[in-house]
Amino acid sequence: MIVLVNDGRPGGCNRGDTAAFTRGERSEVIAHELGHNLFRLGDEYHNDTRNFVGVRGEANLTEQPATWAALKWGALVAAGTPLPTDPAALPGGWNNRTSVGAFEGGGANFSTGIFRPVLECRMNQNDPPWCPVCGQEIDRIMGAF
Amino acid sequence: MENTKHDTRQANRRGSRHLRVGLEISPAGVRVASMWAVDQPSVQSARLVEPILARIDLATRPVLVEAFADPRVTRGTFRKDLGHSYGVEQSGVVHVSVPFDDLRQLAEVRIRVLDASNAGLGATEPVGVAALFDSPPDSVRVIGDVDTASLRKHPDWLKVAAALVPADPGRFEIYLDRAGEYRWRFRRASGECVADSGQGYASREACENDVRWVRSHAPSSPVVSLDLLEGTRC
Repeated sequence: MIVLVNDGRPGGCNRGDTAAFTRGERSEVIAHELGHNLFRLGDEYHNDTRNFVGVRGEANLTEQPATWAALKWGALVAAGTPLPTDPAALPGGWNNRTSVGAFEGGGANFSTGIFRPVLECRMNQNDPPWCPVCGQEIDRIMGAF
Repeated sequence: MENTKHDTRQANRRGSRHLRVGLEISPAGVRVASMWAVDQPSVQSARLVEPILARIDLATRPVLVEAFADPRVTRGTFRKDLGHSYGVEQSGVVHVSVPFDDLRQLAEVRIRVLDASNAGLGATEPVGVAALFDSPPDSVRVIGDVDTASLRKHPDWLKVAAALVPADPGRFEIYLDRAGEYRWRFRRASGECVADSGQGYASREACENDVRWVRSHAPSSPVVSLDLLEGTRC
């Protein structure tokens, strides 16, 4: 459920299955929030240094898999891509938005123990478009309708 | 490929319509907060990611399982270099779907709600989540449940019933009586006659005129309670 507030100032919040936005909120921010609300995507950013322990259900986040061959978005990883992927040693021709690997850090609070698929995505920095992994999940969910 | 998508859409749909039920989750459990009818099927999500789980049963059979972010947690919109901010409230509302095809199915609704925040389930498919409700593990907390009786006690139930129960359209009939005169009568959809012209008309046009008059005037006509006037006999 989405509530639009007739206020020119930016703002909004989410609770359960309800999201509220002002008309002054940026469309990129609203798109990020709808990534959570409609498609159950996780935050790909992290601003804390905690270690994640557990299982991540979101399509765009994962705990360290038992083997990298079992990576949940493995079908979108190009052959020869190192897993996990080091942002400081990217393969030639790497595109930060569309090339898929497994970068450590994400889920808002965790710098270790959790992996995200790309360096730049709407679920990380707002302004980039959704990455291939998020796009695939959006397509899968929308397919039900 | 297109057929596969179509089949997936059909397989995920539940019921032809659904009740949307707002459930308030608080330390006291679960209570019905709101309710309305939606003239669309429910959709069963193939993967359930969020920690607040709801199973909807009709006549003791599970028909839908849903997952929600914890409604007691407020998440502020994303801000660059800051991320989200969070706050925790005492209570919050989630909206579950109760799919149905026939109104009679709503006579035996049960909605159960669990909190799996500490269970570390990850993404779970619906059959696995539905089974959790039969014997919840210790890591899953039972929040509460509501049933048809709880739904009926809520003031929105009357509005829902009015929206869902089809209006009886009834019909006017014009016919020739044994004397060869035209008459009209009004029947319910069930066939029962509830009003008639009380007289024959020499022409069809005169009969039609009175049908038109009744149709246009009856909705706004007052009800005069002659039976309540002392000594009145008609």
